[in-house]
Amino acid sequence: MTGKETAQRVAEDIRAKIASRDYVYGTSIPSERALAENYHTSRSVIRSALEFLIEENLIKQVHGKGNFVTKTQIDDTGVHFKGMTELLTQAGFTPSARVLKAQTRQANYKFSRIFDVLEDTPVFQITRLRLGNEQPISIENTYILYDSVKNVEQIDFQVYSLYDVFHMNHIHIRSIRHIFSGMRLSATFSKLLELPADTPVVSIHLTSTTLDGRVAEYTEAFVAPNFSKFYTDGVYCNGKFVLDTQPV
Amino acid sequence: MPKLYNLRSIEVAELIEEYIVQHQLSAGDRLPAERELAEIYHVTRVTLRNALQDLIYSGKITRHKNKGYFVCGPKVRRDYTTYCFPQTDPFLDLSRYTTVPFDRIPQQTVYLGQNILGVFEDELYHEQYVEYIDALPVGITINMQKTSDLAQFPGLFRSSGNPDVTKHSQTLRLSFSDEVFQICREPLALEETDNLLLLNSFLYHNDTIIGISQSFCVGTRVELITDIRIY
Repeated sequence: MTGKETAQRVAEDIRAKIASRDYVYGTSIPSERALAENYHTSRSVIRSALEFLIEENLIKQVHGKGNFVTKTQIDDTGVHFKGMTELLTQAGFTPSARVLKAQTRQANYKFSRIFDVLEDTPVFQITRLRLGNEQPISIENTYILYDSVKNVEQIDFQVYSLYDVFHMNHIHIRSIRHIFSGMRLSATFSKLLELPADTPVVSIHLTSTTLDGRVAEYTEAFVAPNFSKFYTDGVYCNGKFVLDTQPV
Repeated sequence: MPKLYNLRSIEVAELIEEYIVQHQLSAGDRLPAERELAEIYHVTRVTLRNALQDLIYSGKITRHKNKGYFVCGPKVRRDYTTYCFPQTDPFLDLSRYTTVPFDRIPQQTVYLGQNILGVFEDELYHEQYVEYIDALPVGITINMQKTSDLAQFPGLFRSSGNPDVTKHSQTLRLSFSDEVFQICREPLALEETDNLLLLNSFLYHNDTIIGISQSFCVGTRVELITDIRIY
């Protein structure tokens, strides 16, 4: 068997594993080295197998992280609106996200009320620092019901947006309530946003509701002053408000 | 994943909020002393103080020197997108809402009006008022128009149904101006821990801006709500 044939066979096998959800959307497939061992072949053959899959948009390569299963071509990590990536890029910022903390915890009082569940219901919490050209944009503290997303702990939220993940889990968001307010940054947050302590910032609470009226996600965000416009600005016309970052 | 930052204070802040509800504390009630709270939640005084500071900065509690920490009332809810038209705000209880005319205007607001509307200062019409919910001052609003437009576009800010306004754009920032903070300090009873939201609405008649409404809202007392529909 030639190298090319082996590569095609390996690609076919990985394709089948993606289809059967052995390799789950949002997670990385085994490393090139591990694949080479599994299939008793060389890494160059594995690389050409992966090339096929990348071309088919079944996986995507993330530098230094591995190869991730993808089914959509959406590749921004914009939390709420894809347009945010576009606007940031236009303004000269390359957006990225850094996960500060991820944990599964109980809903307790606060989140049992937000999600309308019992207090012992597991909730997945992820705290992310959003950056543009490595400059801090915002801190986003997001909560979702643990059971609403398959394998939520394995998903790399530095690669996938929450909305990609919702889409794959057949969660369809109908509306997002935005509650804007103002606050000053305490020590923890000011360090993260690289701003002096006590700097006033826009705070945003976002609640995403599905078609059937359930709360899918709740996020608390604090936005660095130079970036508020990406979260707040929009146009009100004919009784409807559209944020600048919303796709038209 | 490397744990780079101590985010424990966020959790403690959540627990204190829970304490407030479970002990049915309402506006003006006092929280237990720092030492006691630190014991209840098994945290250091430093972590506890960070949590309390977060709650002060977000308007949930307030601190009176040498007296302790006190619970604040719920924030006043206002509609973000039609803030400049209080008469049609679905979140606002008009029976609790009053306005009192105010005679000062920040110079930066005058400059904004002049630049956007393209007029000299003596051709700029402006009116200012302090907004109250019950006895609590929550913001100052400044409405501006060209004096020469007043006859053509009367009552621009009185309701959101004005057919002359074809659309308006909305922006929200934090105010960093000392001038504004000084002007607002007394009428809005501002503390050092407060912050001022800077809300602008630019009212369009076709493609021309015919009015500007600028509001300075106390971020620890007001929250601005809008529902974004996803299609």
